[in-house]
Amino acid sequence: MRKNKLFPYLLILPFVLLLIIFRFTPIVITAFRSFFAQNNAEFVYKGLDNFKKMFTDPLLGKSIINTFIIFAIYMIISLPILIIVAYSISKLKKGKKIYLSIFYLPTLIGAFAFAIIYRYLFTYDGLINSILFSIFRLKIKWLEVGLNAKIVFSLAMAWGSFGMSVLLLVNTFNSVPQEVIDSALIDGAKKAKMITHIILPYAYKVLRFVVLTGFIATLNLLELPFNLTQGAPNNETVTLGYYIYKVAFSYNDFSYASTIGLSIFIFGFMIIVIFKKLVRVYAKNN
Amino acid sequence: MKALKKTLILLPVLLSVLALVGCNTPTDEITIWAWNKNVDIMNDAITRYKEIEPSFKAKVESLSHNDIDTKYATARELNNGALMGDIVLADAHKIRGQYYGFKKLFVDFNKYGVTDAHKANIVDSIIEIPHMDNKMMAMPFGIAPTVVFAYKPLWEQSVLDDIVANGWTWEDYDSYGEAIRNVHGNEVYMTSFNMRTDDRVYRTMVSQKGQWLMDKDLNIQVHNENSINALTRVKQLFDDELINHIDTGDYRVLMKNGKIAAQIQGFFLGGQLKDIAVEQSGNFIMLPIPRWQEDNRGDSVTGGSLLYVNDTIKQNKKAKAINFVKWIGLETENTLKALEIGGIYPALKTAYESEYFQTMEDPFFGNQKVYLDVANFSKEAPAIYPSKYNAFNYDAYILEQENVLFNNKDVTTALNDTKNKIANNAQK
Repeated sequence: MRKNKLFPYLLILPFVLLLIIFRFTPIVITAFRSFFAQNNAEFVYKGLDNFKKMFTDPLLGKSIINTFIIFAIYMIISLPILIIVAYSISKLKKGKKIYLSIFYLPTLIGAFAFAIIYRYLFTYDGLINSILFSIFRLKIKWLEVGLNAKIVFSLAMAWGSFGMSVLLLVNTFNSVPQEVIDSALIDGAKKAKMITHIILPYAYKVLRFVVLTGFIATLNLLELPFNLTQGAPNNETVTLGYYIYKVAFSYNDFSYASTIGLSIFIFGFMIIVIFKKLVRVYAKNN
Repeated sequence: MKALKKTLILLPVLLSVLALVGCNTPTDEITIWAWNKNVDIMNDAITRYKEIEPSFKAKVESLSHNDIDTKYATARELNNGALMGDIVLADAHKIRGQYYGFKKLFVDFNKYGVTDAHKANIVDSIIEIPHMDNKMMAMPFGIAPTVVFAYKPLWEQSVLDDIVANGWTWEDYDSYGEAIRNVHGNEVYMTSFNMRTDDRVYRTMVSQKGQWLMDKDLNIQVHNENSINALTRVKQLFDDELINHIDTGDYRVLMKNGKIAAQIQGFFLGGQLKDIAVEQSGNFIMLPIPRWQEDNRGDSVTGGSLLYVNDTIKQNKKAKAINFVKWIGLETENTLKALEIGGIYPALKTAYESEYFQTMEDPFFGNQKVYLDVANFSKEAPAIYPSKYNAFNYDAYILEQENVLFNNKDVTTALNDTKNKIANNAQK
C-alpha cells in the first residue's frame, strides 16, 4: 500500500530532477554570476556594479522599450484575429481538423529556420515586395524602418504561435455548455454580445495563457533580430533577448549578461503576478 | 504495472549506455574545428599528413563562426578547456579578445620550436596579431587581402589597363563611378553592402593607414584624422549613390547580374564568384584598392584566420596537434594547397615565390595572374590590431556610421561619440 503511494512520486522524480538541473540551477548560477565576474578562472567580486551599470546603459533601456513595443504590436495583431479564427473554426461542421493542422504547421518549424524564411520574405528585394511591386508598383522598407521591422517581428511571432493558440481556443470554445448558449439565446442575446459576455469569459484562462506565453516569448526574442536585422536600424530592433546574447557572447561579459537576465527574470515574474491578479479582479467584477 | 516498473528501471541504464556510445571518440584522435571550405582543406591536410605520420588520427568538425564563439564562451565561463576542440580555427579580429578571456586555452608556439626565422616568413600584416604577453598563441593560417572586383563590361579597357599599371585614388574611384553611372544608368553601383551593419569600406580605408578602431596598445583611433577622412569619404561615396545599401548584404547576386562595377571585398570573394556566377567567367578582373591621394600605395589586409592548439589537452595529444599545426602553417606546400582547395590566401611569404603562385592564370578572371597580382597589391599592407574589445567597439562604430549615412549626423561628432563609448566601455 505504502509502495503504491510512493509510486506516483517516483514517476515524476526524473522530471523534477531534470527541472532542478536544467531550469532552477541556471537561475541560481545566473544570480551568483551577477555579482561575480570571471577572468581567466578567477572570480572577481563585483558587488552591485553590474546593477548600477544597468541604470546607465542606454542600449538596455532601448532594448526594453523595443521589447514592449513588439509585445504590444504582437498582441494587437494576434488576439483579435486569433479569437475570430478560433471562433469560426469552432463553428465548422466539417474540415475542422484540416484547418487546425494548417494553422499548427508553422509551429513545427525551428525558430531559426522560421527567422530565415522571414528574412527572404521581408528584405527589400524579397517576396513580399516583389508581389507588392507587381500589383501596386510599391516597395516597402520592411526591415529598414524601426516600426516596420517591429511589425515584421510581431507578425512572425504571431504566426509562429498561432497554431497552438488556435488549438487551445477552439477546444475551449467547443467546451462552452450548449445549455448556457441556449439560455442566452432564449434571453434574446445577440451574437456579438454572446461572444463577448458568454464565450470569451469561458476562454479567459486560455487567453491569459496566450498573453503570458507571448510576453515570455517576447522577452526571450533572439532569433528574429539575430537573423533579420542585427539590431538595425539604429538599434531599433535590439530586443532584450538579443542584447543579452550580444553582451554574453560577443562582448564576452557573462557577468553583466547574467545581471540583465536575472533582473528580467524578476521583473517578468512580477509583471506576470500583477497581470494575473488584474485579470482575476476583472473576471470577478464581470 | 510490473512491466512499467521494469521499463522505468531499465530506461536510465539504457540512456547511460547510449550516452557512453555517443562519447566514443578514441582518446588519441585530434578534433579540429573549422568552417566552410577550411573543412575540406583540413581533411585534405590530414590525409597527406598521415603519409608522414601514419599514427596521426584526426577528425574535422564543421562548425559555424557563431557555434565556435558560443562554445568558446561556455568553455571560458566553466573554465573548462575540454569543451573546446583540440585545434581551433579563429578569426583574426576575434583572437585577441579570446586569448585575454581564457589564456590557459592557448598553446604558446614559442615554446614548441617556432623560431624568429619561421616568423620572418609570415607576412607582416598578420604575424603580430597572435603575439601577446611575449607569447605566440596561434599560428597564422591565411590572410584577407582586400581587392576591387571590377566587372569589365562596365569599364573601358584603357581605364582598367591604366589602373592596373598605375593604381588609382579614392577620388578616381568616385569619378569613374559617376562616369559609369552616366553611361550605364542608375541601377549600376560601384560597390554594395548593408551599410547599417557592415564597415567594410571604412575599414579598408583606415587599414591602408595601419589602423582600425584601437591600436596595439588599446589607444583609441576611431576619432583621429585618418578615421574622419575615411568616414567622410564613405559618406561622399554614399551620397553620390556609388555605394549601394542593400539590407540583405548579399551583393553577390548584384555582382552576378553585372550591376556592380567595382566591389571592394576580400580575396575570398573570387572563389564564391566562381561558384555562383559561372556564366560571368572572363568578365571580372581584380584591381588594387584605390589609395589615398597623399600615399603611393593603397595596400590593405583587413583580416585573416589563425589556428590555435588547446593547451588543456593531454600532453601526447597536444604534441601531435602542435606538430600538425606547425606543418600546415609553416610549410609552403600546405599553404598553397589551402589556396588551391579553398581560396585561402597564404600567410606565408615563401608561398608567393613558388612557381604555382607566380604562374597560375585564372580563366574566370580572364587569365589574370590573380595570386601574383594580389600579392603585389597587398605586399605593403600595414598590420591592424583588432583589440579584445573589438566586438563592442565595432558595434559602437557601426551605429555612428549608420547615423552619418542615414541621419546626416556630422562625421566628427559621430566619431567622437564612438570614441567616448569605446573609452567608457574599456574603463569598465
